[in-house]
Amino acid sequence: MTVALDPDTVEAARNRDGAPAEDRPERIADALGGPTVGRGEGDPLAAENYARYPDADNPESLSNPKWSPLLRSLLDHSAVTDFEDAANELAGAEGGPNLEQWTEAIRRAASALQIDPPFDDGDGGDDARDTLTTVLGHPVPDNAEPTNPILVAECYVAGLSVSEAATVLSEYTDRDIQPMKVRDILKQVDLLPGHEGEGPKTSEEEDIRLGGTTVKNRDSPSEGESGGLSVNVNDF
Amino acid sequence: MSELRVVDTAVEPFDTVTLSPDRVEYDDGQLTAVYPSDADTETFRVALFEYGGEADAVDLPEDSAVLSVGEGVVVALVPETAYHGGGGA
Repeated sequence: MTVALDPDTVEAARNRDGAPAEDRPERIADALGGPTVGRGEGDPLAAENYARYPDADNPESLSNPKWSPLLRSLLDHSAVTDFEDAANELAGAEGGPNLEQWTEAIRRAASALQIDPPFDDGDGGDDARDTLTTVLGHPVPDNAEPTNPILVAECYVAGLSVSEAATVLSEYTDRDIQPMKVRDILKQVDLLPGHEGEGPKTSEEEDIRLGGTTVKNRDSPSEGESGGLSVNVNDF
Repeated sequence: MSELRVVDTAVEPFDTVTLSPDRVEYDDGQLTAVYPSDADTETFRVALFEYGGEADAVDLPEDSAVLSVGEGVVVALVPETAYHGGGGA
């Protein structure tokens, strides 16, 4: 499959300077806009509002069986992948009971309530793969490197911001991909401004080759009719 | 002459104890219970119920036994079965 980056697309990508695309497909916002784990961060995962959560200062209050529906809902939530996630969602700010106390309380409450959490499989990687697949609109090869310029470029052109791309690629590969690294790669392939003013390009910079992948800069008028950047994703 | 069974144990929230709740005393985490050895027993779980602020009442599951009240918390023995109904109090 080939992704052709026409001049308008490239210009739009450069103009947004690392920010998310305003007109990106809704599926991307849905894939990225998953609920945030953490008390007070985004919408609550297990109740209408945080006022309906147990007292943040008292993990042992979970011993009250009235919390059964909330705890079941929380532990069954797709954003909660382990007991620590659940603890993060219920614990208050710093200075209150620590996460270990909350984690232990949640474990004991789950045991008392005979809740069997669904996250024994450690399938967070599959979730991350699903997110990336949704963003790109196609599956990703198993051996795709997170710093592969084609993969990074495709994420960005799909509408991700630099930091979103770094997060998605980090979660997908379980590696720490910094936004600066993503930004550098995007500069290399001319999807972000900042590369051309650094002196004359070498022949290697004109045709970036990583792992057998070729990203050919076709800005030159002598190169084809459409100009812009042509990326062959079969070369992953 | 009847035989008495004595339970004397330290407990904390979520712990379970099996006893007959006719005569139970509780002091700072130490629970004692005395009952005829032929009395029916039940398994309870130690639970906290908060009150105060906007809530000046607590709802205890049926057949719970209050152990202590103070500082915004009711400590109670709650029948283990109350945890298996999906909703509790």
